Amino acid sequence: MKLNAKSGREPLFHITKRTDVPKWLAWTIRVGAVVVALLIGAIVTGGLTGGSGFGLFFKDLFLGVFGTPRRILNFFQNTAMMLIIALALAPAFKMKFWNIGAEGQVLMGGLGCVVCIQYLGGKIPEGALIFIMFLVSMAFGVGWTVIPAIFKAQWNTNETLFTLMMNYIAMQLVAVCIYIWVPSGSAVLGVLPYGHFPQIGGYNYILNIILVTVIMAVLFVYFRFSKHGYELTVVGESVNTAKYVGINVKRVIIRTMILSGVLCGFAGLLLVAGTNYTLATDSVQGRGFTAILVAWLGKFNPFLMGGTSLLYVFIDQGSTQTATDLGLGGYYADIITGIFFFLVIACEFFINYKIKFRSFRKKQGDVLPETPVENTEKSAEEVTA
Amino acid sequence: MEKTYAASGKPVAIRMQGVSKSFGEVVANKDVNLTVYEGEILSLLGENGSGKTTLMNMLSGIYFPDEGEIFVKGKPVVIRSPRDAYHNRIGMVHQHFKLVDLFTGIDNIILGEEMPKFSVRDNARAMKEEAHAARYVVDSDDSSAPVKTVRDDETAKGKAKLAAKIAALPLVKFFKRCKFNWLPRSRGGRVRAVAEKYGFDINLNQKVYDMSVSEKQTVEIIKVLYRGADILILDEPTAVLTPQETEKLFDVLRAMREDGKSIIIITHKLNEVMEISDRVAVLRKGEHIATVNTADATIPMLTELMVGHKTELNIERDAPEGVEDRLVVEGLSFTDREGVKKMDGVSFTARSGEILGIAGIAGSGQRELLETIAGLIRPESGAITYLPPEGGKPENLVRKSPEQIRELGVRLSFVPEDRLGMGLVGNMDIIDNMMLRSYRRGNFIFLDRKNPKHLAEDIIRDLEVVTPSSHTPVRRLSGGNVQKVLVGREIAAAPTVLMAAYPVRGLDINSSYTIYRLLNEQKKRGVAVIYVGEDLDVLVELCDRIMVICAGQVTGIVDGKTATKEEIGLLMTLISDEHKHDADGKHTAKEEDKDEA
Amino acid sequence: MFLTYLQSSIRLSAVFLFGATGETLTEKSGNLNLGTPGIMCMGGAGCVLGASFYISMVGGVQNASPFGAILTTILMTLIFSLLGGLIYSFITITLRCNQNVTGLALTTFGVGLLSFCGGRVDKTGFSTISDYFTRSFPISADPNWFETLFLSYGMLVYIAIILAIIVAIVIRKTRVGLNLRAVGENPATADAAGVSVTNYKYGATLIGSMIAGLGGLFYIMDQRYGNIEYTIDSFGWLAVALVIFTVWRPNWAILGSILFSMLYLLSSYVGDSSFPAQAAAIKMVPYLVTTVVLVVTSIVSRRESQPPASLGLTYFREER
Repeated sequence: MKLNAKSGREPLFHITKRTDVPKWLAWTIRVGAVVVALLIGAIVTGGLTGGSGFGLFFKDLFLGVFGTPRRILNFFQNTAMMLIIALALAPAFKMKFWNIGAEGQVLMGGLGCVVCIQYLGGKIPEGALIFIMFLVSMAFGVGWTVIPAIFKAQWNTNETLFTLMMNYIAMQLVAVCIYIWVPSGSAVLGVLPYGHFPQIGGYNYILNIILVTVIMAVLFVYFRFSKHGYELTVVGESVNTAKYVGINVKRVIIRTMILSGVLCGFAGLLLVAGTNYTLATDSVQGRGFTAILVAWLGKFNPFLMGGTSLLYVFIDQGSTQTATDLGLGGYYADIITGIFFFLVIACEFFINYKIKFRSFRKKQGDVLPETPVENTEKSAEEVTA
Repeated sequence: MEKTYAASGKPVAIRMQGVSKSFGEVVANKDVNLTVYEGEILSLLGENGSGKTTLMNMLSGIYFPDEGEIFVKGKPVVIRSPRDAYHNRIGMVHQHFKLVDLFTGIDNIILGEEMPKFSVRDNARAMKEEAHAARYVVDSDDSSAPVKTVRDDETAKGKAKLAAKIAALPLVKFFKRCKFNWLPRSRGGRVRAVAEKYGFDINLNQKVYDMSVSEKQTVEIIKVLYRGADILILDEPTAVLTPQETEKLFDVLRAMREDGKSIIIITHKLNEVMEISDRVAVLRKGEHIATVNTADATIPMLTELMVGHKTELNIERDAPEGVEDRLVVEGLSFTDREGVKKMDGVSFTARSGEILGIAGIAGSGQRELLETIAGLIRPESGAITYLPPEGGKPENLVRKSPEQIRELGVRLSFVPEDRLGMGLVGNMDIIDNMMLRSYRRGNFIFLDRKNPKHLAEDIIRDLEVVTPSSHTPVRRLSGGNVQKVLVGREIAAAPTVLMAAYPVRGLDINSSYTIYRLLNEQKKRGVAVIYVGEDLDVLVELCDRIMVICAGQVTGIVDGKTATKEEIGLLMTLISDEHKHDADGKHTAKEEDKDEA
Repeated sequence: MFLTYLQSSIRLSAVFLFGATGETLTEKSGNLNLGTPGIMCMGGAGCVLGASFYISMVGGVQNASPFGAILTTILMTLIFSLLGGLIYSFITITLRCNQNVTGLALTTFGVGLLSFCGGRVDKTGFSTISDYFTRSFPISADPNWFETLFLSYGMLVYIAIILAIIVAIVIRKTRVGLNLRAVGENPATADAAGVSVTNYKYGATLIGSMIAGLGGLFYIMDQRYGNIEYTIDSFGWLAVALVIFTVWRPNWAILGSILFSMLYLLSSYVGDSSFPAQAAAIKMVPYLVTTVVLVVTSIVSRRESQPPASLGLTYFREER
């Protein structure tokens, strides 16, 4: 009876759900996960470089972000870029609309800008150009979010794949446009001369950072205090409840995805007019995907998402610096951020569940003496008496 | 103090000793001792939320106890998973059937089945012993012959043969495993044999999504028997059955008892306890209160044990006042996406100042009917006419959205069956849930949280909702409190029509009576109350009129004061057979068999 | 012309087929692994490391033997993709965290790992190892249509098709498959019937990951003749799409993947190469077609063509 012998043991531990974790403990666990992720990153770096990389990892992490004023500005600019895309995704994800097409949606926003610059640049005043770019980029972004939204609302088409495919269509569309605009065939669009955001205090990017901060606050108010925000939360939590209270679910889905598209388009505008002043098929650099993780980690709360964006960009930019200094190649940062994401995602387990280890009080396999069974059961008379 | 029962002469099948289980801060079971004998039917009696199901789930391997020990046939066992439970010959039929809808009955039954044991080592040993014995015989027979050569030859050959055979054993095991693993088209012969042994009449090649509730239950029981269980646990098996189906089930259970099996029935229905069981174990608030012989027990005594104090189990029913037609439903028909006719010419009138009960087997179209009235379903045909109280203009509600219905000034409240999936949002707090009905009021863009907060606090106070605060997500509340929040919100809208689907399902007795009281208050206020229920005892006590539906058709509307359970039970299955004949000719012969049985 | 087109499409289809077969197996257990593109990249990383490790081990490519090279490369591919699958499984099955975000993080990680490894290894001799993989059945110098269409591929193409058929049979015709489908449809039911949900989910995800990882190996060693290409993830995403496209049936995926690669290669065979814009526009076609098919299948949804009911959900037995 091998099986019985096996099943005769209490498990080493078992897992139970917990719902009432104090806030401080939850945050301690999350911070702990980040620390562990950095330690693993340092150990891996140390391992690859024969030990010297361990200390350098931490040093470069900070130097890469705060080493020079330029880097600090880049840090906030990158954070703003990441945050605006995460903010653009948040309404969709709060509604449980799995939009993994931000890459394409932002790219389309950028394409909208470049179209304006190509055909209107130099012909109208710069202020008017930027205003038109603003409108067109948003229209392009909305186009790319609202198409899957309509199909989702009408036929419940799987939005994850739909938006994913739209990414590639957007990329090819940009490729086509670039081939048309660059007759030489080099397929690289140079820096565009028009439609740049004004500098503030002699620096680029400052306007981007301010605008994104404002949008973060506005979106927070929208989610928390507006009727639209309330409706989209209800739809996200339960479509049945939404229908039950008479919310027009299709309208909410489409309306929310329009908002999401507006923000994606705006992100494209920031990318082209505020950051790169050009466009390529890979301009978004995978941020459309990363932003999903950033937004999810921030629990789709705009202010928390600000925090997670800062954290992500900090680790990304810092580990890029490490990789450069140690000659590990540009993609090394992806590995480090991957480890960071794994740990921060996995730590939720310790917030939602409790592990109970086997108690060693009881002796195993100890057969109790056969006591009369009735002793252990109270009789009815006893109780009712 | 010691008291021996007649049943204690039988061998003990299961003993639970000092078993405790808690979920977070909620203690589900505390230091429970329970004994089950072979060849008996034990009722596990307790209110909803008293921890009956949790206790049994620890036997069936779904939960693992925090403390305590379990003995099966005198041996201590540790049940870590349902598989362990099967090894200990324990099987459970859960209240919410554990069946895969997309599979056939057969596939559901053979699901998870383990291969009969085949140990290479044991077989090898057996072969060696056999060969040894054979050689021994050869030796003794051939003692006269030139011994050495013959024996050498024999053994060398035999040894090689044996070695080859033993070497092939893993291969044999592999082939056996392959054969076991392969699913031929005509699988399930042994399953049918089990079904026939106990006289179940069911087509096991149907997909589960095509089965009726009682057929699904039959599949579950066959599954447990097929897996060789000696100890059967049934969780609220009669909740979804008609009185007639219940009788059939009880016959099956008695046959199993005769077969020497132990049966535990979880229930909160006292008359069934008295009818079927040999002994009754009572749980209250997770603790084992007493075990009594059914023969020694009375219903008032069990009630007292169960609730903990003397209770009047009577629901008040005043004569309806100010009765006038409020909602006239005519000829509603609706076919769902799977092509099942959920409503077929449903007509009735709901009147103000009375409670109209709706009875029927689960899934007979009750949900669709209420959702159609609420504007969530657009029927193919039919009319719903709302007649406002002060003789206003009648309105047709069919094909209007909930929003449009509200804009017409129709105050329609609806307590849906799925509380956390439809009536409320589990992750939102009580205040935000109050807002579901009222958030559109006031300011154009922004929400008003002040009035919902007052409402939430009023409901918490008036209905004695147990909650840390009005900011607690409703998903954290217990079932009874969730329902109070939902009913409280729906009543706060001052409705003229109040629809409630299974509003006391899963509630303890005190919460249930709070709900009955609230419904009666609404009735006195002149509200037309529509109550969909499953417990026929409650329906005949609470409702002024009872409409019975079956397979989407109204089979009768009876007077609540004079109706009997049996009468309603018959109406509940009245046309299902005819209906099936229409839908599917090939079932005809089988259904007639059923009628005769 | 069309024959070459078809032949190269069937060849390329292996990368989709590996990915789709692996992902189908994973999804049948209720795990939506959006990390499949990353796992294919990790498989690619493993193959790159394996090949360069083998070459340095035998002391130069001139000493390489086909058997050792193929074995080492495949083994390393399997180890790396298994590792990816383990990360995903541990986080989503044991720790019960969100499947979608875990998958996306795994994709980020896998892409990074491939690029990191690809940038650091010594690639000399890869073309020789690639020759071992692309070696086909002996066919005549001037092959007829039969030889071209059926016998002209490297071993991995056949492995892909055989694996797809095996997985299809296991899912539909065996108890293991029955139990697996039950886990994906309704884990609580499977659990109550004594099926170990954790083991099945782990098994399906890990085996699925290893199959998907072979896609990375194929792409680098067969399709690209040993040149490291960093865009394997886009094939991975198309493979995920293919799973839905073929309604969770690996046997249909064989044809589906050929269709996908035909669309993918369309731009190389149609149109004027002097107009790159036109070629770029044609490259849009596979994605457009996928989208259209997605819409059409969602409009005519049938019960049997639905995803496994618990896809994307984590299972915890003591959930209340």
